[in-house]
Amino acid sequence: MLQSLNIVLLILLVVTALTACLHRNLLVAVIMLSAFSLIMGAMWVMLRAPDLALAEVVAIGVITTTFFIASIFRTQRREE
Amino acid sequence: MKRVLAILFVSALAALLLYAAALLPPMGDADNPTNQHIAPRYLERGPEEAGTHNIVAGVLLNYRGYDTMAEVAVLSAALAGVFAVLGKGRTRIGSTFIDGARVEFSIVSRIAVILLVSFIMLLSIQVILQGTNLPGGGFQGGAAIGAGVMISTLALGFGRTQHRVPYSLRAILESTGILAFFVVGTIGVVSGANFLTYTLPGINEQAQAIARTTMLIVVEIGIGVMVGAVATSVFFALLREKEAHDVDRAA
Repeated sequence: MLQSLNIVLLILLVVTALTACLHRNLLVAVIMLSAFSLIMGAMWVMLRAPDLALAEVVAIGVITTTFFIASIFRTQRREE
Repeated sequence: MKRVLAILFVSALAALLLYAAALLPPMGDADNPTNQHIAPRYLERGPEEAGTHNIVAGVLLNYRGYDTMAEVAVLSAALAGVFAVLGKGRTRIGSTFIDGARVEFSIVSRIAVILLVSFIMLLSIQVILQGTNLPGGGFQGGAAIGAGVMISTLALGFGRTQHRVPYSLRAILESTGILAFFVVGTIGVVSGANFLTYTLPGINEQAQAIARTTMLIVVEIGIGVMVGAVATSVFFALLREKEAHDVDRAA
């Protein structure tokens, strides 16, 4: 049971990371980063490291996501 | 031609790094030097030597306290860089993206955020103050304070939130992190031991444990308010005035 949960979470991790790197829409990439940090937070708790889980979810999932979105908001998109 | 050279160089570097990584002992092996000397020492003698029940906080603040001090200094340097590029975030109220947005948050979201922010601030204070015994610490609590201020800015408007956290307050809080470390470290030197040894001069041995716990909490509070103020300042600096050619914002 726990083994299959681990496998599912790891597959989701790889999928969100690849989508964050390769997608064209920047906003989708930032949201995928936030989902990545959420899954990593769950894995840190399963590895019995609650300090890391707290730091990851708050610092990456909330703060750098907001910084990225605020930065993207100031840019423009041009198609060529 | 350049591309082929670049690929060759990167492949050679990758092969070298992979070979070096393969020579390392397997991770988590019981015969590793870290598992023989360092980890048992920290786990067995951590609570009495470092003075905390949270071994992570003990390592961060006592066994590797100089690294934490340097990390706080790096945060200050990063904040200086952000201020140099983006300005200090002292914008005029009403001229940010959030205040000029076409769609405002609904009343449900606003009331939910008002209720949540008070709990978020209480929780982050608890995480900071109990950082030596429970999971958490200064960095986690400070980031939670920053997150609470960010949520409040997004839902309630920049003006109302900036009124609570003006630049004068943030400037004081941003310097308390590194100052707390230096003051506590110098007190350690004054009392006859090395820099950043948590001892007070001139008191007997029984009271040293209480002094050590107090100084650890002072350092944690310094780190926490500093990280919160830095996150808030960077966020406010990113919300500068609307640009003139603002029609087609990126998605």
